Amino acid sequence: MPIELVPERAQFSTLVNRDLRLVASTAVFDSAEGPPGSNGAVKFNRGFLQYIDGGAHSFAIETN
Amino acid sequence: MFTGTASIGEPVLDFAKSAANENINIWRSGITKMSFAIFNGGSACTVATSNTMLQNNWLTIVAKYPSATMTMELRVGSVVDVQTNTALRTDRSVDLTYIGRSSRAQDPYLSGKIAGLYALDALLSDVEISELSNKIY
Repeated sequence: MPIELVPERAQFSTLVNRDLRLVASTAVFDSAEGPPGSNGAVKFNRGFLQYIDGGAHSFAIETN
Repeated sequence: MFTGTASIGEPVLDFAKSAANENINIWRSGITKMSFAIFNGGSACTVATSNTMLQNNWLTIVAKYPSATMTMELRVGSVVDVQTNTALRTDRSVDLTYIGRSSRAQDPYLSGKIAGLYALDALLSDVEISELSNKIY
C-alpha cells in the first residue's frame, strides 16, 4: 500500500489512515512554497529539529 | 530542495525498525551527493549519485529497487546511477517512517523543503513515475 506526503498537510500517511492522524509532525506546510505550479511544500527547519513520522509500515520489496 | 547550510548525513527519509536496522533511506552523503540504501538488518546495499547536487534548487528524485535484477537505482533530475547487489533485499515491517530525520541520533536533521513524496512497494514504469511526479506540479 502506498504511503505518501498528504497534499497540503505536513503528514506522511496511507490513504486509509489519512484522517486518523497517527503521525508525529513538527514540520510545517506552507502553501506559498514549492516549485512553480505546485500546491505548496513542507518546510523542515534543522534548528527546530523539524520532521515527520508516518509511523509503522510494511514494504514488500522482495516479493512484490 | 536542500536549503541553508549543507550538512553531510542530513536525511530526506529514513524508514527503519530502529537505528541501522532494516533501513530504507535517502540522504545527503556528500556536499553535492546523495545516496539511497536498503539495509537487511545492519547490512547495507547503497548507490550514490555521481552528479552535482545544487543547494536551493528543486530536485526530482526517484529511487528504485527492482528485486528481479537486485539493482539499486537513484535518479536525480535526468542523471541515473545504478548499483547491482549480490543479496536480495527482503520484505520488512518498520516502526519509523521518518521524513527529514534520521533514525540515528547523531545525524543532522534536514534543512529543506519537500513538495511531494511517494513510497510504494511496487515497481512502476517510467510513465507511471512521470504521472506521479506530475501530480506534484
